[in-house]
Amino acid sequence: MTDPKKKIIIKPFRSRSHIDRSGAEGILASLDKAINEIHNRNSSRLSFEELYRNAYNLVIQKHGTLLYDGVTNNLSSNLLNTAARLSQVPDSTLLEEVATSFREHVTTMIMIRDILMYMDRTYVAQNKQRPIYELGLYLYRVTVWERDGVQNRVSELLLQAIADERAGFLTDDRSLLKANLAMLQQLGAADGSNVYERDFDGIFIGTTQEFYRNESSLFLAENSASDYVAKAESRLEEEKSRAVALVLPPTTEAPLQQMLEMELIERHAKTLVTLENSGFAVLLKDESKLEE
Amino acid sequence: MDSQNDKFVKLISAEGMEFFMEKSVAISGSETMKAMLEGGFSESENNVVRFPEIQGPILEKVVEYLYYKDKYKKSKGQIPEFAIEPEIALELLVASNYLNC
Repeated sequence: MTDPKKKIIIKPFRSRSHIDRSGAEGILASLDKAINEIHNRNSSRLSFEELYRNAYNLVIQKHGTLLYDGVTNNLSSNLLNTAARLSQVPDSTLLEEVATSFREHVTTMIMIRDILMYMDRTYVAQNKQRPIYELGLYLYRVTVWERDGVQNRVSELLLQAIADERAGFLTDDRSLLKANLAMLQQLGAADGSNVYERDFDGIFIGTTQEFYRNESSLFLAENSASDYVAKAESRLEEEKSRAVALVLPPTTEAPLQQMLEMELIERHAKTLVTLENSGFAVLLKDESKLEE
Repeated sequence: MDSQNDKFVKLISAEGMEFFMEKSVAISGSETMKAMLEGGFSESENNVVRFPEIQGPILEKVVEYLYYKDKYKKSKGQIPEFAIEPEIALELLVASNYLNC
C-alpha cells in the first residue's frame, strides 16, 4: 500500500490555545448577547458558525457546565420578562398574546438548540441534563404558564369560550383555542408533566358533565321524547366536531364520549321510554305516530 | 438573489480558500450544515459559510466526503473505500466531529 521508504509525516497537532475561566466567561457573555438578539428576532444579523464554534470551544475546553448554566439563566430572565408582561395583558387579548409568545419561544428555542447542538450531543448526554429544547419548554411552563395571572385566566377564558359556543354565540376564536390547547400538550410532552390534564382536561370534562346534566333534565321536562332525541343527537355531533376542530387528544375524546353518552342517553333512558304521551312505549303502541 | 445562487453554497476555509458545493448535498450530509443553512442566520441569507478554524485541504476533503456520502447513501451493496491520507486524518477527525458528519 504505502511505499516503505516514504515516511509518513503527521503534522504536529495544533493544540488550541487553552481557554481559562475568565476567557470562558467572556465567550459566554458574547453568546448571551447573541441569544438576546435571537429573542428579539434579529438572528439574521448573527453568524451561526461563530456562535456554534464558540459553544463548541467552551465544551471542548471543559466549560460545559458554565455554558449550560449561563444559557439557563438567560432563558429564565427573558421568560420572567415575558411572564410579567403577559400577567398585565387584558383578558380580551390574553389568548392571542399567549399563543404568539409561545410560538415565538418555540422559534427561538429551535435556533438556540441548533447553535448549542454540540453541547446537546456531548455535555448534556454525559451529564444527564435536560436537552436544550426541552429545557426551554420546561422553563416556559414554570416561569410563564404557571405565573399567577396567566394560567388561571387562560384556563378560565378557554372554558368560557367553549361555554359560549354551546350557548349559541358565534366565536371566531377557534384558532386561538386550538393554539393554546396545542401549547399545553407540547409543554406536557417536553418535560413529562401533566399540565394539559391538570389545567384544562379535568375541569373541561367536569364542567361539560354538569352542563349536559342540567340541560338534558330541563329539556326533557318540557319537550317530547322525539324532540329530545333530535336535540341529543345534535349536541353529540357538536361536541364531536368541536373535539376534532380543537384537535383534542384521544385521551380526552374517549372519556368525553363516554360521559356524554352517560349524561344524555343512559341517565334518561327509562324516562324516554315511559314518558306519558311521547315516550317510546306510547309511540310503539300508537301506529298513527309511526313517523316519529 | 436569483435561483441559480440558491442551489450552491460557498464555503471559505481558514486561509481563504473558497469551495462551492450544492446546498442540498451539504444539508443532507451534515447536521451542522443543515442548521447553518436553514436556520435564519446570516449564512442562510447569503449562502456563504466561513470556517476560520478549518484549513483548506481539510475542508476540501470534507466536501469530497459529503458528495461521496450523497452518492452512495442509497446503495446497499459494497461501496468503494473513501481514501484518507494519514497526514490529515487527525485534523479531519476534529472537523468531522465539529460538523457532525
